[in-house]
Amino acid sequence: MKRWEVIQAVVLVTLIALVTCEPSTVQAQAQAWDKTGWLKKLEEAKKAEGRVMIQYDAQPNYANWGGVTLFFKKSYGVDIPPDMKGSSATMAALVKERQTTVADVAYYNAVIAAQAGVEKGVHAPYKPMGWDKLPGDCKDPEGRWFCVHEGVIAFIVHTKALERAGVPVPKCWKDLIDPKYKGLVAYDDPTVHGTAWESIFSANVAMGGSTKDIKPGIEYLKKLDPNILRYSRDTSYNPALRGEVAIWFNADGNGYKMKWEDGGPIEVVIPCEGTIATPLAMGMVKWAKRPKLAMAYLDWLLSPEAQGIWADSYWLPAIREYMTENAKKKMKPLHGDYKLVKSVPILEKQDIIDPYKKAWLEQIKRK
Amino acid sequence: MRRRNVLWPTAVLWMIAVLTASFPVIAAGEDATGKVVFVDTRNSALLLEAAKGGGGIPGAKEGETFTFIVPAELQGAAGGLAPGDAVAVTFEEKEGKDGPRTLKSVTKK
Repeated sequence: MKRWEVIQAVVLVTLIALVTCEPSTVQAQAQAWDKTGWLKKLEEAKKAEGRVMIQYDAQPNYANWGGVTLFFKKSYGVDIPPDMKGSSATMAALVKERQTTVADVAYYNAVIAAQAGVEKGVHAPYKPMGWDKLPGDCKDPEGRWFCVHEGVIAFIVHTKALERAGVPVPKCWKDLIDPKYKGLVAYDDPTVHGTAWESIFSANVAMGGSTKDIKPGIEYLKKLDPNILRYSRDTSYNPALRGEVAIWFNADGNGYKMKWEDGGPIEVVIPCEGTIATPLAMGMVKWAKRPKLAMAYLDWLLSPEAQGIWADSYWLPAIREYMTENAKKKMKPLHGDYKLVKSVPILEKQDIIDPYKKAWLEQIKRK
Repeated sequence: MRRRNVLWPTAVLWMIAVLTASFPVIAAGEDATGKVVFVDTRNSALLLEAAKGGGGIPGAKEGETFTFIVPAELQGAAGGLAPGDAVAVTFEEKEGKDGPRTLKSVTKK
């Protein structure tokens, strides 16, 4: 009798386990990345639309787009040429070119992607494979934009250049106002580059501002202006790597790439007053001339393969489970801590993009 | 007779004013230089990478790519281009600065 009770208990437990586990197993299977199905889709797209597709904003040295597009070409036979436009220029080009554009997909800072996709209406809705795994605040419910990876605004410092200038590595935003840093600091033109806009917004948040109040940021940037070397319309990646720019405000991932891949004397500093994360996003162009290729490519960007490439390029993948151990080991700032990153909802930032750019143009930009 | 002499310059001024007012709609051709990135023959378009200093494309910087519409009369010339070719183009912006760019001429350099 006792034995029979044991058997009954085991059967019961097994049944309960099967019933409770089934939904998650089914869900996991549904969400698994179906590479065979995707390859079929890609081959059909290539047959119908060729082997070249166009991405606006595909800067080789930003977020390792050079590596990502090269991998895609070598592995899957589709060429995506580089394009040096920043986020704002990408949106402006699509608004201007509209149905005549040859662009199939576009990449931006997520705040500008949301503006382009929703307010300007230059994107077609598309939810790529892996959609369900994206965090809810990093995608448009209708699929007009979605995140692919994320950076954190940081100081990217060239330690040798600072040594030559006889100044220490700065730890805080406030350190940079000291006249000893004159001519050593730079950030790119925030009316051209989304990451540069995020950098000045990060300063605003660190100085006590918010999406409703840009005054602290503008006041800080005014005080910082005498120390600024330049506000470049081109990316300062190479000048920062060469030490011509000693302290550059940009995404941490670019700094880690300079340090680990390019071998530069570069360190990343998370400022002591805090900083913000800067999610980057894609959209499918409304008038894409190669929509099948565009969809297959956007699917791939959320695949474990592409997300893993970004992780290994020091960009936090939008689907966090694809973060790699190697990246975790190497993404260590010299000063500061990732706990200092403040969260600001993407859509909240949208309302102040233009007012903040306008204030910067009127009060900070050199004539 | 005297009255006619007075009116003649006024009429000329009016003509100049009317022509000036219609000028933005006509839009003069602009020159640009750059490198061919992609010839999209199916869609009658050319993707051009701006040369140093923007290559004459307003607001552009080196390395940015821009779409140009290829009109029927230039399709032969554009079709003979390949990625990497350096070109000089003239173009117009028919709907003013907010409209798409249409090629008026394209020459391989």
